Amino acid sequence: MLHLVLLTLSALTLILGQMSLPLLPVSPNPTLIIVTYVGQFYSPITGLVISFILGYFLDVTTGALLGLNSFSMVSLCYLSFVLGKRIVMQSGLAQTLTVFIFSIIYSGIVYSLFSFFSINISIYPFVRTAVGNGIVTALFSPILITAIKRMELTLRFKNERDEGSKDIKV
Amino acid sequence: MLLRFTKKNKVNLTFLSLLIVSILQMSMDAKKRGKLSMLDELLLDSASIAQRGITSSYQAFRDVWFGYIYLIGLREENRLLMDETSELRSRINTLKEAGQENQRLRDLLSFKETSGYGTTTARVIGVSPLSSFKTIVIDKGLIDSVGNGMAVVSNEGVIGKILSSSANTSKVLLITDRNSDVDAVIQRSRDSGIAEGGDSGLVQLKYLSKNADAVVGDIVVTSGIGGVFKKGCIIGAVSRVDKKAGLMFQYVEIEPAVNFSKLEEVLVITDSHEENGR
Repeated sequence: MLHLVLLTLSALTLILGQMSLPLLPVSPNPTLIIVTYVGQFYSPITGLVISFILGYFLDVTTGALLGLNSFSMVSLCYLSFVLGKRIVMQSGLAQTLTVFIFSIIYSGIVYSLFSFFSINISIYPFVRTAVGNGIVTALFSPILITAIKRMELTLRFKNERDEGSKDIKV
Repeated sequence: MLLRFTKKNKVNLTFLSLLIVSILQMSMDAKKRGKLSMLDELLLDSASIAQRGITSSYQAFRDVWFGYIYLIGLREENRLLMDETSELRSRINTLKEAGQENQRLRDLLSFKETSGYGTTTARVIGVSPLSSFKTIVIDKGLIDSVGNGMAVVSNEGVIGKILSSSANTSKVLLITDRNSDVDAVIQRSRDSGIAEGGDSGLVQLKYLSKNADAVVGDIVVTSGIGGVFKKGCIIGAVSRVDKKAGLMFQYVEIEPAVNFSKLEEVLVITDSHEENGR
């Protein structure tokens, strides 16, 4: 339980910390990495709840359409849980690729929701930013995942997949 | 049955319920854009408190970081300024030296003009490293008409005489050397003796009769006898007088007028020797 609280608090701190940094054209999305990770390595309900909390927090703090990120993060977590039965993000390359794909999917969800709620958004700048963010987030993912694993190791927590996993490893 | 269905599909149900909550949130927010619920406001306030802390920590970190980077730059700038300061100090020193040299040369020139001697200005280029031989080397020699036995003086007083000369340099025997002897008189009483080099850099006035009037502080000058030094060149001041019983002469020590440790330029009297030679 402690590791869940710590993980959530760390993620919230990361979100706040990222908000304190200067505005950059592209920036990593640590929430997305955490959501992808918990979807794969944690129990699905725990993962979904954490994803919802983080998404909701993102919505409240970043001023986005309320529910947009909670919807996206919950969706991504579920997708990660479903795909996690086939792919396990063990190597750095697998983590990078998976997070990049999830980042693109996230952007797709966001764009769809914006369109659905009639919020005008130019497609080309959005795609450009989405790809940039995806690359940066993907490159950042091995670092963050390593940090999470270190934290789990310190707290003597074994996630479900690390122990006796028979899944296909990328 | 419902319970079994719920238990079997609890993941999907959780997922769906969270999605529905999100969609509801979006729908409500899209309708009244910018209006936050109480929960949202509470969360935002809590987040802003935390964010203020994080921002101030980040700013503190940034200040330290940029301060450090700035300090690295400052260190480099400091090094450059130190180099520049060092160079400027060196230049100031050179200018000071030139100024002092100028003053010394002016004094020498003034002495040269008032003395009426034929003189050559020479620069001290070496000092004997052996304490038992009190000599200096000057940068004028036979080419400059500087030869053996010529008197060497400064505006302060007598220095010595040329011991040997090469084409471009000459060795000067200082009056403080044991082998040096100059005919001298006490300026006030006109009692005469021979000024010879003594121990510890002093000059001894020898062969001064016991009846001679010599007191500490008396100025001793050259007598002009012997022809090397012209009459009236200052040798120094009497620093000690000892009239020992049973001796013919009194013991008189002279503190040289010239500070030999600070000699840089000297005047070689060239015409007195010629006169003497004649």
